[in-house]
Amino acid sequence: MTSPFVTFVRFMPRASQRTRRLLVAGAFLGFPLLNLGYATLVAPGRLSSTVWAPIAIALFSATLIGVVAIYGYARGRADMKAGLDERQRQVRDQAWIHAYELLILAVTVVVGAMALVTSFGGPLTIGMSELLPLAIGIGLYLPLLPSAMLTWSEPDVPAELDDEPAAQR
Amino acid sequence: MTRRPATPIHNRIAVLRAERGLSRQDLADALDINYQTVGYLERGEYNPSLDLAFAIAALFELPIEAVFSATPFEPMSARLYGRTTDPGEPTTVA
Repeated sequence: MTSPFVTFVRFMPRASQRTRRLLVAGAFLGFPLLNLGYATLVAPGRLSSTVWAPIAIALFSATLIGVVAIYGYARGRADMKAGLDERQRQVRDQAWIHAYELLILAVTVVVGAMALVTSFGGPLTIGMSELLPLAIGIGLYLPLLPSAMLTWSEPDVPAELDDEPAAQR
Repeated sequence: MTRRPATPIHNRIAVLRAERGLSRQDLADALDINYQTVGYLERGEYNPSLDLAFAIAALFELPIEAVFSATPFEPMSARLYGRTTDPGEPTTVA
């Protein structure tokens, strides 16, 4: 009997682009929203921990499921050492290029925002409570970015192609 | 991320593969590529490299210009029977 994890990972290459995009969005929004919600609602006492707990579990689950989904879809295809044919290499390279473009955009936005805050709002103090989730986020999302880009942007495979080996063999 | 190429290269891969009774997987195995790539080639959504184009032509034992063309290929029926109208109309034999 296969575990739900294995079943889910095996299903992912056949998931529609819409499903894949929802899962990628969940992976990339869950963890930041979890930290943002805690910092702005729970820590200042605006929301009780009891109310926040199920929301936190849902956000963390969205990230976890999304990360597994990205792994399931892109495993072996976003890797620079993967044995791919020339079209697949082209697709992988485009995913890496788009991931790099997105990273540059994110860094520019963050640095720009920090520059604005320090210019008009005075010194910016960043403590461990802000640095730790930031470090976890970077460690989680940065290596995942090319795979996520591939999972997000690959079009649906036409049914005739998808079923070919089973139909012909 | 695979999009239709800006400059399409037309090919007869689907016809040649069908003539020889090969599945996409058979052709993919012979060319050492993924079977989905064969589909992308047949639908004109991917232009092969020169290496792959020559390998495909060699596999079908045809000159490369018989498999690939910058302009659309004339249908086989038109070439064989001089049919230039749609199939519902009377056939004109050259």
